[in-house]
Amino acid sequence: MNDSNPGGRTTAWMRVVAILTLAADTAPPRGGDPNLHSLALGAQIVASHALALLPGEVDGVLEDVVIDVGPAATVGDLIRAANAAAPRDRNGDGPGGAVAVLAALDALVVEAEVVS
Amino acid sequence: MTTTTHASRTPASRRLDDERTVGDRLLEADIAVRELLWDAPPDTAKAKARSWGEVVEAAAELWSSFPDRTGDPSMDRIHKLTVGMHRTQQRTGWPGPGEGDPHLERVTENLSRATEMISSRRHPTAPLSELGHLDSEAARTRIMHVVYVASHGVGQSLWQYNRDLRRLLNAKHRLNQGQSADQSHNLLVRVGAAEQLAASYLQGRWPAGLNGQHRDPVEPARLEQAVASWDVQARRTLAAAPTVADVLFTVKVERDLTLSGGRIVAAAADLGVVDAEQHRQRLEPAFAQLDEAWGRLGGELEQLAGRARRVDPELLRCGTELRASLREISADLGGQAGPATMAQRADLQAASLEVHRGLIAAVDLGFVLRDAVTDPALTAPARSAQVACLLFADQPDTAAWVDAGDAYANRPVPLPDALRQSLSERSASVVAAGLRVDSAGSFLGATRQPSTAGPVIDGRAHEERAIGLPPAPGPRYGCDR
Repeated sequence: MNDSNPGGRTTAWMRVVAILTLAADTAPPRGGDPNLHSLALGAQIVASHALALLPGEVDGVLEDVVIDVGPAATVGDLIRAANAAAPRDRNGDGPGGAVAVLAALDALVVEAEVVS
Repeated sequence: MTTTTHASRTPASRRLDDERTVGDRLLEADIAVRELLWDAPPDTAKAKARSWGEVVEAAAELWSSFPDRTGDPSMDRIHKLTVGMHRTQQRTGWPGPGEGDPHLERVTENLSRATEMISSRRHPTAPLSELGHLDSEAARTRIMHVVYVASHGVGQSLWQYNRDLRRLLNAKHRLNQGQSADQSHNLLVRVGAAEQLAASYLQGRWPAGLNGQHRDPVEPARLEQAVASWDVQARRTLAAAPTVADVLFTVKVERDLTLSGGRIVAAAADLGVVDAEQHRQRLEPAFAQLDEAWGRLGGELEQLAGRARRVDPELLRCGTELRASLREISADLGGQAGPATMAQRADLQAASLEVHRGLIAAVDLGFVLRDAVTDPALTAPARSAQVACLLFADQPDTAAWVDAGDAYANRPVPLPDALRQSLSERSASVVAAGLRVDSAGSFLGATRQPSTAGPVIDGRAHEERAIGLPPAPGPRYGCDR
């Protein structure tokens, strides 16, 4: 993916991956609402698709991405935060896969709205 | 409404092939308009200005083609604004004749086709059922979102176009023929007003309003196929050269199958489709134990995998399909479907059997997982391995878990032995819990095939030749001395 704008499109996608990964890991180790677990799995799926948009070089620095979410954020909060962080406006070139990831993220937000 | 499939004005050859529903058309329009956002250079502003009015026109027609209980005037106001803009364009000659924008033309085509499909089947004043009303609200939400995103994309392009013209005007004091900073600015203001109107409609409706969309009945064989495909692919990926991300994803999907699948079986028991007593006494506790076993294994792997979880694309695809096929039955318009709703959507006896088949595969999968996590070739990012060791294993007295240089560069490192051991034990717990589910759910009708991945018993070892005696039963109620 090209990174032509100063804000860093790649950085924005890395933030999305980091937030969604955090959402994927919010499920408690035992019990809990099956819907929340399913939502967390959905977050993992979209995170993996989003990561596939990025070059392999980012893997090493993904841990260093700072995400601005509160410690009490729920899986729904995190999915909404990822949706807000997703880069949606772009001039010039457009990676096809990103559109599908954004659509999947939108669908996940719909699920989160229902669950939370 | 969003499932209506029909074609009227398209050529007969296309009509026969085209089975897209109104819902599909709306989704395609939404996807096309999103692509507009990725493709908004200023030199396309005039093309977008030509096409934007057609998008609003098509959206307004579709909006009025089906009944509206709420009578919300938002689309009407946007439409009137566009009609005024069109008159101005005719009077001023800007942007003038020329090509339209391909993305917006795709949007217009999809919206117009949806209108044709609805108009041929339904009168716009016909009363709607409650579900029909929810479906229509979902459609309106989607239509307005299309207008909102289109307005934003066109506005963005016009803003850049106008900015460039102002710069040119300041530098040269003239513009080429066919260019107009004033007219493009006027249009920018009107498009901005439409965007604001659409945004206020969507406030509180997007995306929650989409939940009311009608859904087709569940494909009977979908869950069966999804369970089988997942089982095959999980074994295939784990038997090759899996990464920690692959192993973790497998565990997460299996846990979803345990919990969401468990709800389907519980619904079947609730309705008496399967033996409720057997379910309550034996299967439900076995499900809980399996969930806990997956949860503990997953918890360690989450620490180990870090954030860069590049999952095998085929594994990801099969896991996504399994999750979707479970949600299709267990989730509904209001979120979590009740037993009666699930029973309307699927044959719960058959679905319970498929869930059980999927879960007893956990026994074999647990062996495969154990092999995967004890494979010396399995690596994890150094920092993640360090964190996982600190959380789940005792600190060694003599050396650090992970080399400082590896941790600094976050290089992939082989799993420390203590962690490997811990993961192996967790996998063994999964196997034990899977065996319990296998036994407890035998009343559902599925039986497990012996695994080739488990320990091979060839009768040569001393203990394999010993005569096995079942453990003596413990004291039961009424047997106390």
